[in-house]
Amino acid sequence: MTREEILKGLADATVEGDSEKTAMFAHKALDTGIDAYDAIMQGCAQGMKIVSDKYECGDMFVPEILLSAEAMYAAIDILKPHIKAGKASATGTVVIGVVEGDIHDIGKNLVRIMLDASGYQIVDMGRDVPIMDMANKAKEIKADIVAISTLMTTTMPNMKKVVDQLVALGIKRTTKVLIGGAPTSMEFAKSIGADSWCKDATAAIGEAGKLVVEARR
Amino acid sequence: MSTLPELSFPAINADWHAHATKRFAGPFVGVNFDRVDVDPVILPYAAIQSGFGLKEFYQNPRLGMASVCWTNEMHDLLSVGHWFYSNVWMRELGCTLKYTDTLPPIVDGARPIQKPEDVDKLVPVDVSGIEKGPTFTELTSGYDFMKNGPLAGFFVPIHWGFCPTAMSAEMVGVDKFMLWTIKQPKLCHKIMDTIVDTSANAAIAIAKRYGFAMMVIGGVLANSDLLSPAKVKEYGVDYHIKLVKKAFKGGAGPQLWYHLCGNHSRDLALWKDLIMSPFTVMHVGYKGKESYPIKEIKEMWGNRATIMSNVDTKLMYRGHPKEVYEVSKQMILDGKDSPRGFVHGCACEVPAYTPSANIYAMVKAAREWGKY
Repeated sequence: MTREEILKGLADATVEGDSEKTAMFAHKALDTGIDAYDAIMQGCAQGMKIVSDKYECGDMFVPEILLSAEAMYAAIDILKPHIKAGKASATGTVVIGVVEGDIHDIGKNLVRIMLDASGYQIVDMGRDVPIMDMANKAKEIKADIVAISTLMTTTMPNMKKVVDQLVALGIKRTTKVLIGGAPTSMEFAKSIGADSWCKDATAAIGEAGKLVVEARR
Repeated sequence: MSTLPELSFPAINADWHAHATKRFAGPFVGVNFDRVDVDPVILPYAAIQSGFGLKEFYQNPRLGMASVCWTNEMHDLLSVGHWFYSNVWMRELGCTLKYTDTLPPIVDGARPIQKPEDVDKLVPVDVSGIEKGPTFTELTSGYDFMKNGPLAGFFVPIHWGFCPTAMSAEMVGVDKFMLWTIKQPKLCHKIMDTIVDTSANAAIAIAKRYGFAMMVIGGVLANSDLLSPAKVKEYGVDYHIKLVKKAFKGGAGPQLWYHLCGNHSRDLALWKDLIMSPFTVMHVGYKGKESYPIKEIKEMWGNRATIMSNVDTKLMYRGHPKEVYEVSKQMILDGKDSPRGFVHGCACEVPAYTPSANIYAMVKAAREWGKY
């Protein structure tokens, strides 16, 4: 099997949500000497890009994305231990979570999957994450981005508290804040001192890319 | 506060209530009374306006219902009260609810279904089990308070069936349930059957106690943002029909309020043949990111149901009164002539901290543009 066939196999199996196949192609990639990071980025990530495009135009929905993500992670689990040091954090590091007081995490999980597929190193803090925990984790791992979401208007003020905490810790210049969730907007993001807003998981990839550049400037 | 919080409101103005009752009843008896009625779907907003918090609102149904009734008079809204939350009847099925200051009651801790084998053990809760359970006890404490106290005129026994899809997902965890719709569809249907049977039994139990039970149900997870149209049909529409059929057969109804929450841009037509009684309200949230056009909803259901409009809740929370007024005006003009009546509302529950000026903007628009 050629390098191109293996990478295409990884991408196609990711789109199909076939975990057995992605695992099989991941082993093949390692066996044939394909760099593990390249296998993820040029195989699985390409597949997830197709999934993301299909979601955007209504050809795929959340269950199908989750199935594709499961397949992607089946390959990543095999490939990750073989990634050369330094490469994994090259794209950017993100601390992600649902803000304190809220538990709605479908959107956050989709963003995590898409960022994972785009090569970011992710620390997923889960849901109802205490403000201090988000900020402290960002400081601890020198995160480029803190990504926070909420579905509830009642917890929107806690997003500002996360921003304020990053300022208090002195890391706001190098850690950018990306927010999302149904009641939020770019206008709201600016009003609380966040750096950007994304309307959905697909948009998060583009916004995160810009924020990493700013964070590392 | 020296008195019980639910008793901290003055008596409702009887003249206002009598007038509002005629307005409320209008659409269901084919009479256009003075103007379009307004229902922003008041829930914890009422508690906040009355000086209480979300946790108190949900932990104390008497307070919740009293605050809603009081707020209805304050803003000249509906003559009936309501109080509900989405994870209803979940405790009877093995879930634990947690009350917080920021959310309606949430399912907390381990889900009753951890692995596929757990589904085999699922059994619907029968009417007697419902009657003995914590939810019914809590709900009827509030309803009895309303029915027998100073809020008697506001009383309507409501069975809040919420979204059978979302309730089923809570039994497993939302992500896992979503995955199972592809990998384990039989298990998903078993869970949904259990939820729907339990919910129908709850409606029957309420009807048994009070003589009738208005049913409030809606597609929340079953929408175009999350599921394909085929899955919305399979896991949403079909179960709504099953739930209403079974509950009606057992004596629940006849009032129905369908709340199709979220974005229904790709699936609305699939809901067209829902069961409807002569006392049905049809309420659709969004088409993509925008409020679903009233004209389209009216065209689909105007001859079978009272149509309820849908001011974007983001606008209610963040917009200015003038914006809310203008949007309301247009919705009212689009909907007020609907054959079976029209109610002006928000796309979903009005956010708890909505500026009261924006509620007034809805009412002002109804007074000025919704006259009959």
